[in-house]
Amino acid sequence: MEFDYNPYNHLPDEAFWKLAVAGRKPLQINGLWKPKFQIQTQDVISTAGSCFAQHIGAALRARGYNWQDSEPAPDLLRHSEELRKAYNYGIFSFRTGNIYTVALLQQWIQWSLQPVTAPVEIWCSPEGRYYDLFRPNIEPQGFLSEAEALESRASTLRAIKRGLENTDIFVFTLGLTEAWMNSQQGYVYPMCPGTIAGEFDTSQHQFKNFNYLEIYTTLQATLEQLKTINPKMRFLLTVSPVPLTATASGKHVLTATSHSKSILRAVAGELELTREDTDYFPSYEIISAFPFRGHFYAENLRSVRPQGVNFVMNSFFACQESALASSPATSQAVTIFQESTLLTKALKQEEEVCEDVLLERFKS
Amino acid sequence: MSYWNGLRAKPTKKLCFIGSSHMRALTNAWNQTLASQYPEYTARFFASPLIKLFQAEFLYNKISAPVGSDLERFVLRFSQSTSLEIDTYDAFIFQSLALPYHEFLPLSEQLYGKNGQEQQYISRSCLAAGLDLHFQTLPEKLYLDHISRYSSAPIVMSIAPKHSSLALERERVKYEAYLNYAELFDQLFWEGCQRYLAGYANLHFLRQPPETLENRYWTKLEYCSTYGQEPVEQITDYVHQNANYGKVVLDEIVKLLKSLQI
Repeated sequence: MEFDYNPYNHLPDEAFWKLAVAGRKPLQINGLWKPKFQIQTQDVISTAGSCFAQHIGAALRARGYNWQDSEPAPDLLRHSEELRKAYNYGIFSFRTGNIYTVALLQQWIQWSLQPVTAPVEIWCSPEGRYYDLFRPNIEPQGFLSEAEALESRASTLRAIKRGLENTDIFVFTLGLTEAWMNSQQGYVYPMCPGTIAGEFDTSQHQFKNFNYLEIYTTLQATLEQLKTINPKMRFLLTVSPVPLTATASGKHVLTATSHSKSILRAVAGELELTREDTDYFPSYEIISAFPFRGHFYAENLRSVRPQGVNFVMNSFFACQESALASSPATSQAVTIFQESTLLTKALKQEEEVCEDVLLERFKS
Repeated sequence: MSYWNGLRAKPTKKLCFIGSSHMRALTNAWNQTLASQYPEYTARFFASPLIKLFQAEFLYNKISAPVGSDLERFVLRFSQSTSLEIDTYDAFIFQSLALPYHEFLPLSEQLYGKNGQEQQYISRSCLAAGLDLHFQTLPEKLYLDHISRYSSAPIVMSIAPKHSSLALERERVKYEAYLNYAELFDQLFWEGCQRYLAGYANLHFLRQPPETLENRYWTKLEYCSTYGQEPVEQITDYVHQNANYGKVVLDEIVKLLKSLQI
């Protein structure tokens, strides 16, 4: 029996698993992304999010894109990549440290625009150093005083506001659904108090695993708020392929990871489908989908190898180039080999700064 | 003291001065007046622009300017010998460590938010770490480490002068942001000097003599290197000082050495 017409007759190869995936070697699986908009060299790009977002910023910078560094490192640190990284300069567009959850992103934006004032939450260590619980790893030895910690945070909030006003494309990498909140005040922490800094207090600190609806509505509201700052701003969402270091959900960390990533992926997908100004780049799939056979993960099955990041970012630029006009890299006549070398070098320098990996020390 | 020793003339103490272009004020002062004022000392000067000091060869009990090097060319301006025999000196005096204006001026603009930028706060420990990087680019430690291998003589680290007040008068805009942080930079620099040169038991710091300062941050106009030789309005070197300045510093150095029984 033959069918003259059905919707599958004329679909491209990529629509069929056998042709697009099973019949190819992992590194030949390509064309996963059809960009909605072209990223141009003059576009001001801001990146924020979980650890994996660091690679996106580094790759954009290495390719000559206009990646925004809203709080540049002092020139005194020009000879030390290591120190710049230790002080969290040049890692994300804003000196916030990792923003693992959508709730934390919204919080930083609201604080910078000041409809909401940030609570103090500065913790003094037994050694007399002061830590900002909203970016506990931002200074390697903490601050000299509470006043200094707050002054530094205020500087970052000013930089976020100014940076957002300039931003044409905001790239956000969704990392986690799990977070710790202040149950009395309702704000969210990047890390559980008592892990990197602070003291855990059961009467105040409460675990929260955000569900789909909460994340969707929060991110939707945040994107809308960003549009009020700059109506031309466009958004590129990604989901971090890096699994949870630890879960406080009571589930096995593997199922908790699957649960968390599924929700984040679904939110990103829904926003990409429903918002013209929002796109989704599948770095999550490229690294973690099983046809890639875990090839891009390091031995700890968590960190992404530089080759993986390189493959993701080369896919990013190749998709930009094939779907739209030529990318800046092409217009600058840089060969693929050179690009690759350049990117690998940049990635080596940009080894991830991940606070949550510090959770491992509690179970070694 | 034995009879024969008592009859002998008191031996002169040999001082070794090592430094940068700031040494010129001291050599001029020494040659013009102080050599005769302090006959108990003989002075040897080993100086060149700061960066050229890196060209030295550090040999057994010796620091030497390589043949044909720029360092050799500068060293020969002050001495007929291009080498220092370390264990022959009774004290070493450095005149090179200077407030790094080339670092602090752009930093002050970043902090102050010049050219339409907003103020940026950079933590004290970050600035200190950055300043430590600056100190790592300096040559003094190479010399101190080598000298310490062959000598336990005292070492005086005399801090080079601050810019002349004329700089501020002439280029107020350039220094506008700097003025807001001059105190902070002073503290950072001083703390940085102490971290940089920590661990040398026989090291003594000597800060710029207060009488040479117009105020905490600027050297008096009268100490400009060409003051009195050309009209004030034609002076362009705000960085280096004259023999009068060198005399004040050398008097302080001698006072310190005498307190150390040198």
